[in-house]
Formats: sequence, C-alpha cells, structure tokens
Amino acid sequence: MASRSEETALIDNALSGQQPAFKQLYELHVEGLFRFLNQFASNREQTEEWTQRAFIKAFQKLASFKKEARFKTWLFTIGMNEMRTDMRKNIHFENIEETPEAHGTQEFSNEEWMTARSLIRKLPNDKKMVFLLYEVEGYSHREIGELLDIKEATSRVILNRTKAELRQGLQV
Amino acid sequence: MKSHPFYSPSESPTPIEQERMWNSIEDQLPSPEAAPILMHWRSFWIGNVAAVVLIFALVGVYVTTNLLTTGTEQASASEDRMYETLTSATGQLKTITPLLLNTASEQVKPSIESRIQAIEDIDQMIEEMKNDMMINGITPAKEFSLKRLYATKLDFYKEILLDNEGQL
Repeated sequence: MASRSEETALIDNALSGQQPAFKQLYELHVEGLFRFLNQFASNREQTEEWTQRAFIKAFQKLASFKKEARFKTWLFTIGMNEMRTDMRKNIHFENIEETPEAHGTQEFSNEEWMTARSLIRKLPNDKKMVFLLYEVEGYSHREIGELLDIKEATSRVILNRTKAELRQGLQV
Repeated sequence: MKSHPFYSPSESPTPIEQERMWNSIEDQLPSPEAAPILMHWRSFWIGNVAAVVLIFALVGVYVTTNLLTTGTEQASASEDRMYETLTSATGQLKTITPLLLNTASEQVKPSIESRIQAIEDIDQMIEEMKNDMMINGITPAKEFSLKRLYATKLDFYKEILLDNEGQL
C-alpha cells in the first residue's frame, strides 16, 4: 500500500505524462474497486466494464483531482457513478429525518462475516452500498454522505437498520 | 492489499482480468506529448478502414436516433438494448473522431472542430442531467430531456461523418 505522499507523487508523474505512473496507480487500486463494484454486478464482465470505465474517466480527468482528497475516494465516486448510470432502476436514497441511535450495534466477528456474506449480497442496493462503504471499506459517515450525496445522519440510520436486519438474519 | 474478511479471494480480479482491463485503459490514456499522426486520407488502407467504420457507425446512429425519437411506448427491455447500442455507437464514434479530423480536408476541419466542441458541451450537460437524476430522482421530463441531448449529440456525430463521407 503506497503512502499518501507516494500516491501524490504518482499522480504528479502521471500528470506530467509519465505513462508508468498510470499503471502504478491502477495496480494500487484495481483490486479494491473491482471487489466493491462486484457486489452490485450481475456478472464479472459487468464488473470489468465498470472498473475500466472508472479508471479511464479518472485518468482522463486526473488534472481536476483535488490532491487534498483521497484518490481512492475519488475513484470510488466515479466507479459508483458509472455503475449507477447503467442501472435501469437507479439506487435511490431517501433522506431520513429521524435521529440515529446513539449506540450502534456491536461489530461482526470474522466468523459472522463469513455467514453474513450471502445475506449482505441479498440486501437492497442502497443498504448494501452504505453498509459496505462503512463496514468493509472503512469510510466515515461524513465521507459516505459526500460520496452518495446524502445527509450524514441518513447514512447512520441506514447503517443501523441494515446491521439490525443482518443480525436478525444471522440468528434465524 | 489487506483483505477484509467479507471479501472472498475469488472476488479479486484474476491476473488475466487485470491485464485485460489494463489493456483497454491503456488505449485511452491521455498522451500530453502526442504528436499529430500524419496520414494521408487517400491512403488505400486508411480509406478502406474509415469507410467500413463510417458505414457501421452511420447505421448505428440512424437506428439509435430513430429509437430515441419514436415515442415513449418502448418496452423496458428494448430501452435497455437501445442504451447499449447508444453507448456502443457513441463509444465507437468517439474513438474514430480524431482519425476523421486528421483525414479531413482543410475546408471541413473548422466545422468538424466546432462540432466536436459542441459534443463536449452536450456531454457536460448529459453529465449534469445524470447527476441531477441521481440526486433528485428521475421524472419523465428529465428522461425526455436526456434522450433529446443524446439525440442531438448523435446528430452532431452524423454531421461529422457526413462531412467526411464526401471525401472517401
């Protein structure tokens, strides 16, 4: 995993026209983006299509990338936009006004993750997206709010509801 | 890369998949130092390739434009196919546009360049429209506007192709 400064250097090199820097950026992020998008695709060809389109767009618009942001976050935003563009039924997030619970539900253990896989795959896309971004990809609710253009509180409520739903499913 | 327990190893891209994706990406990397490709449009090889591409692209453009402009009674499945055709056709057109510009005569170059600029403006409007639909939801009016933008974009491509067609 490259440090932030190494990644910034790679971006600078790519911007100055050094082609190997693009490949290094690709190799750093392809696995993460592919695995995430694969959770929403109906087959691997679709995942490949979204992944490569995300990289092409990111590289073509690299000059507009703000270096104070994380490249991974920017790439994921583009990847999710590509995916959502192709979906006939767009992923819609309702802004939920209720106050999120003060205490989140407890963390999943490694064993529970294994069992929960199939349940997570069956979740509606909006819940799956928030859940994976927070629990698996490690984004904060503030970042998810920016990524998906929803309120931070909405992200919290969706996550809490999804976790409760999963826990219930695991107990059955 | 440290793997989260949620992801099984089979979900990572295989080396073959990674290579295949990279090959597609590499073809479209920005090349700041790209020198203009000097090709004579009368060359036998280029002339033939361009003619074949033009025929396929024109057929695609006409079919898709007709689909876009013949009302809203299209079934969902045919709309999916329509968007696939559209994406594929515009992708091909975008790829051959630099070639068309290179092979165009000096008389038509300014007109092609202004049409390319117009297509870029439309792309921006399409992007904004899609973002708006993503954030605020889809309405029939927005869908119609989006289709009109696509149709206008295709019209510009058609004009570029017709400009060049006369030279081949």
